[in-house]
Amino acid sequence: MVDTGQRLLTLNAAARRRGVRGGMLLSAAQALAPDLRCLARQPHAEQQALHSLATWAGQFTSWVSLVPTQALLLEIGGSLKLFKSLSCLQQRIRAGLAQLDYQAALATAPTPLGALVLARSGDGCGARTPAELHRLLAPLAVSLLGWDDRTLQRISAVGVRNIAECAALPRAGFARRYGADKRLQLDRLLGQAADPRPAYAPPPRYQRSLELSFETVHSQAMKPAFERLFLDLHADLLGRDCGILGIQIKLVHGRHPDTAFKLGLQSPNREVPRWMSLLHERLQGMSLPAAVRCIRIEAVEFAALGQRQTQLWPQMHAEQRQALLERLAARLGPSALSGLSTHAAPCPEQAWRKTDPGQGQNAAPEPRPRPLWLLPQPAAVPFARLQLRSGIERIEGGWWEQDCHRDYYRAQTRHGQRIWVFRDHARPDQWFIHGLFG
Amino acid sequence: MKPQALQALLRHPGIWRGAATPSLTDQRTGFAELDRQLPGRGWPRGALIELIPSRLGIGELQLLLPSLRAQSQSWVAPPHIPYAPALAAAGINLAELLIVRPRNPADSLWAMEQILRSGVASHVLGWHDTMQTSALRRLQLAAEAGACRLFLFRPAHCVKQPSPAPLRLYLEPAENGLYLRLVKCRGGRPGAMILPLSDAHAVALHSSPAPASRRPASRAA
Repeated sequence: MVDTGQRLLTLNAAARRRGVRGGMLLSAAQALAPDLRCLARQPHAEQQALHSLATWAGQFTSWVSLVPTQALLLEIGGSLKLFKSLSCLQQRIRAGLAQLDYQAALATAPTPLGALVLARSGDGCGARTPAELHRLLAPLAVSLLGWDDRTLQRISAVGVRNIAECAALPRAGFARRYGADKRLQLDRLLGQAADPRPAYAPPPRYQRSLELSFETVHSQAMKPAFERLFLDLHADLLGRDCGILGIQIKLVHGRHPDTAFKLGLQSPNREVPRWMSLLHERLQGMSLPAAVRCIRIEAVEFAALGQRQTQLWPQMHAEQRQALLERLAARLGPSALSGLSTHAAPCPEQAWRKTDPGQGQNAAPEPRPRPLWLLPQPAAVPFARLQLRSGIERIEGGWWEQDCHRDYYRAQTRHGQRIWVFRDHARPDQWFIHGLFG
Repeated sequence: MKPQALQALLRHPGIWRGAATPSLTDQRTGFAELDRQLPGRGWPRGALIELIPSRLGIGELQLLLPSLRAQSQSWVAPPHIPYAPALAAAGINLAELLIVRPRNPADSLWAMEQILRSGVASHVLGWHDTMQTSALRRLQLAAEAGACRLFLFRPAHCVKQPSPAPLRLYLEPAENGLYLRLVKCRGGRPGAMILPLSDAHAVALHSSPAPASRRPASRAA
């Protein structure tokens, strides 16, 4: 990777074997290895990654602070009890970072600056007490403090090599020569001055996009990209300690307008496999107008995760039920699923309502016989085909509803179908089938 | 061999007898005569049950109502509107009822399979007119996997076609109830019976209807 000054920043093992070293000029490195593949540094992407990691780190502590462009500071004093021990917590953080494909240098110290300097010196350093911190810091180079080059040159010019020597310089003289803020930083580093840090607040919206390395129309080829995006979203939700109710997905094509759709979830959750299976169902039923270049996702609505595991059996049932409803809705469309509810209305076609699945209610019990099937539209039938099998039931609706003055009978057709027929008072000669007793 | 020893031997799970004792998993149908005919003394569990009515509306749903009471159930692709007041009066818990209306037969097959495999609904009712034997086999396996019952309603001409379903019933209207023929019954014997339906007790009025009071008035007008 190459920074803006055309110097090498990081390199892989293959490059190192060819004699290329970090900090070399790009031209020098290319002289050593002509087939060197260079990647430009992307400061914006680095910042974004650091911000999403800051949100992710919210699962380990309530106080995350961001050191711009470089590092995250986690206040873990309050979390040690929850995570049992420091080594347990570090293991969890390392495992989480590995899952997200990041490399990091971890260090712990009683002061934020101390931790920062130790992390720069190498991975895995840790000091639990101020005395231990002083001992570890003493032999480290002054350049690790992150001061500007001019100050560092002036300090090394007076023969100071390490932090211990730097801290031993007379206070007043040090502040006058190199600035009072440098002295204050030394005090903060060693724990002799307070070092308040602002807490990181995750942004209210979650939006990420991923450029595909090749354009494609096949859903199978887009799967790894979606997995990566969902994994990042999952990490973000872990940090926020909440779930989401939907994911807005936008597939960006070159010239055609974008394809946008939404994955709806029945309950707040953060389960990547569940999202992937929903996405699979959804993409199967779609035909894309053109190849996809870029995928954008946006978390639609953050919501607290429901209280789980209060009752074992019904709750488990409910979760499976919601997963099933999501899967069905993803392929068939949400309008294909419904529940039924009774409704108190005199007019038979008004006496029921479509509801959301699982929201049906047996509100008004109907004592008189009613058919199990209702026809969407009453069908005209000649009276000669009917054999009436009951007495009259007169149903009259209110004037504020649909005008309804009808005489209903149970009847049987020649084929033995047991049906519900009526004739309207306005047209007494015309008979209609309204339902089947099934 | 002593009788006790014989009984113990016959209770061995590897031994299967034609006229089996009632199993705990099979749910009573609500019709004693039908229960007697079925090998497990009820609807088999985890099975595809084919119902082939000669026409819709002859009482095929009333046959199922006793076993659907207070159960979680899904109705896939019903041919008409399931009428909520009648279902509620029959004791069906509407909160546990899911109606699925897929756009085409392929989706409806997929939906049935998904619901069966999830094991969420204990009963699934499906209506499908054009089903291949391979699809029936899939549904039977899905019902076994999810331990649910699938009542599949098929058109009358399907009665002649072979099917992997363990239980197939042909239904026809009868004078005072529902004529039911066991076309296929795994572990039992085919047979036929007439089941009484609640509505059959209603007074039959063969005469012309009592004229509505407004009728003469409207004629006069």
